[in-house]
Amino acid sequence: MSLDYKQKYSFGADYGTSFFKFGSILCGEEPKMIENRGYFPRNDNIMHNAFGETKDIVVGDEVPLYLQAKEDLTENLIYPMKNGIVEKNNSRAWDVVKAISLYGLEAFEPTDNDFEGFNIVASLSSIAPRYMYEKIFQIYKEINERRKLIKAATVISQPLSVAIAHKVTTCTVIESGHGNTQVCPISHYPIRNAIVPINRGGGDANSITAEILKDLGYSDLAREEAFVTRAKEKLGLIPVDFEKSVAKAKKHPKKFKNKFKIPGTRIVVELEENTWTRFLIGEYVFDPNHELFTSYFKRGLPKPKDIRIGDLLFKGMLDFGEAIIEAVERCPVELQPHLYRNILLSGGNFCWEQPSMQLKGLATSANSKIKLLLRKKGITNVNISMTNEPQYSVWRGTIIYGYAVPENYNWSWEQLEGWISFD
Amino acid sequence: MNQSKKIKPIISGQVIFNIITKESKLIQFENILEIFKQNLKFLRRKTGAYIFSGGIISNLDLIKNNNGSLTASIRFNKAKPFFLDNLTSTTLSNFNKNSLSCSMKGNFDFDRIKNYLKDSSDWFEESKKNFCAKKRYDKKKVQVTAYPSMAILNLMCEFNGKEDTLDPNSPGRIIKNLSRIGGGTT
Repeated sequence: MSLDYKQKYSFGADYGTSFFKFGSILCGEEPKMIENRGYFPRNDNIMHNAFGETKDIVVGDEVPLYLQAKEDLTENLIYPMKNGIVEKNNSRAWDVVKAISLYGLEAFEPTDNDFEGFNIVASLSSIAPRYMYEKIFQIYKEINERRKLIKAATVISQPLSVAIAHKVTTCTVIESGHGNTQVCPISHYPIRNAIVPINRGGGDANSITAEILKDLGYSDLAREEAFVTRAKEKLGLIPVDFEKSVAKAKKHPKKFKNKFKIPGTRIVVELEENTWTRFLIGEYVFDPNHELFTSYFKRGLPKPKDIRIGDLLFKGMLDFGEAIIEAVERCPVELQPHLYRNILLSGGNFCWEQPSMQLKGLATSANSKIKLLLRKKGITNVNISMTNEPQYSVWRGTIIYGYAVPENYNWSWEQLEGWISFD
Repeated sequence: MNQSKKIKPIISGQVIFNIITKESKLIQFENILEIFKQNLKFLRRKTGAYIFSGGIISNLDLIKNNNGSLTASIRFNKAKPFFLDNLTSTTLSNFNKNSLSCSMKGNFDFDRIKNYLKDSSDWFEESKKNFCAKKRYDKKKVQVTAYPSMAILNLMCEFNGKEDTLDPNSPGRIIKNLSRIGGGTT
């Protein structure tokens, strides 16, 4: 596996709870992204038999073309991961993981003669148990039995991948995706005993946005995830001080005015006197504990629950500041200042537009908000950076890792690093 | 006449070069960065990325080879053709040889690109509609790989010595040419 070969055929695969981001090194700096889900079409009807549509499982951009009745979705549309974890014996979920892996590899299969398979770096949640590593390697082996698409494979944790992408070896990574958030201290390797997982991510911000839209009279649209996501991105604001920002917006709603039109439609969303609700979206992501949210919970907004997966407790309502402190305080005292001094924010849940200058002192950025949450708890000497295009930083780290790790570095189950060769 | 909107592709990729001087052990990440800062207009740093006029260096790695030499890998993003020309000429002036892999992401007219490349050497096409060819630009052979379903066009080529980047072989020129054929602008 020469450097020339790796320069052409390194492949990154980031298995997020909601999205699978993948692509070869030749992708440039942005991977291809599909939903991490698979649809099992019913193959017992006339259309399937008459037109020869005999796919057992559909993944990627084709999924919407195969969807059948709504009632059918819960049974046949499978999201394999819950909080980054696939249940060990859930064979349908693993079939989806295999199908998306194959989909990604085939999409980038090169036509060159010298192609002997990709060097694939898979990235899993920092709390993924060992059986997930074993299963991923098993899947790659099965893919290769049909067609040689993989030359060597390795698996790294998502926070480590973020740290690699930003060349930081001692830091705290907060990787907040659509489904959940992981706070992971890193000192050359992820400190597994100190990881604090949170059962809250971009999907929860979508939920509160949907409630706000319902209150504004957009009930039908609030059921469409793509619309809600766009509304969240366009309308959401992170408050400096939640109560003060909301009070100000209630008093001067015009100052916070923002309307947006959905491209290609006639739909224009305007908040008018309810512009204060823009702050609900931002606050909910970082700290959902304010009493204002209680009325939403009472009206049906699903409250992020504490859930136990294996021996790990995913807290639902933990604010991000508290979560960082909890994670860092599980590490040696000498290391703690270094972990606070380098906090990296990564993941799509941190993709927020910079507030306008007009809102200075009322709305802020994600890193400033975390800084404020930590300051409230007495932690001051912190340095927080937002990764460049945070939704892609895990994938970028996999590409750099795949390129930089020497080919003779064999996989070690003790260290969970190195290459497994498929030659 | 209706004029369709031009595609503006996102250009990103990687330049690699070997450092085989006796002093290679002394060469650090900062030294290489300094060379770039002298030759490209540096604007600012942003969380591990270095923002220059016309492009971003998102990552710079030094990889130790088995024989003790070093390979430098520079990943760039959101590049303009002139940035790529400057980047390659800077590495060639200092390290004499480099290999460039560059991707353009955009909804090109891949059929037109296919027609343009079809008569080139080493033409391959496979069932997923990806295709690949080696196209000659004057003395330079450039490997072009297209992934139509992913809207990606990739170029790979090697440059030897400073004279290699002179027109019409400069990477910026080649990129502009291919982009134009696919209905894009740069």
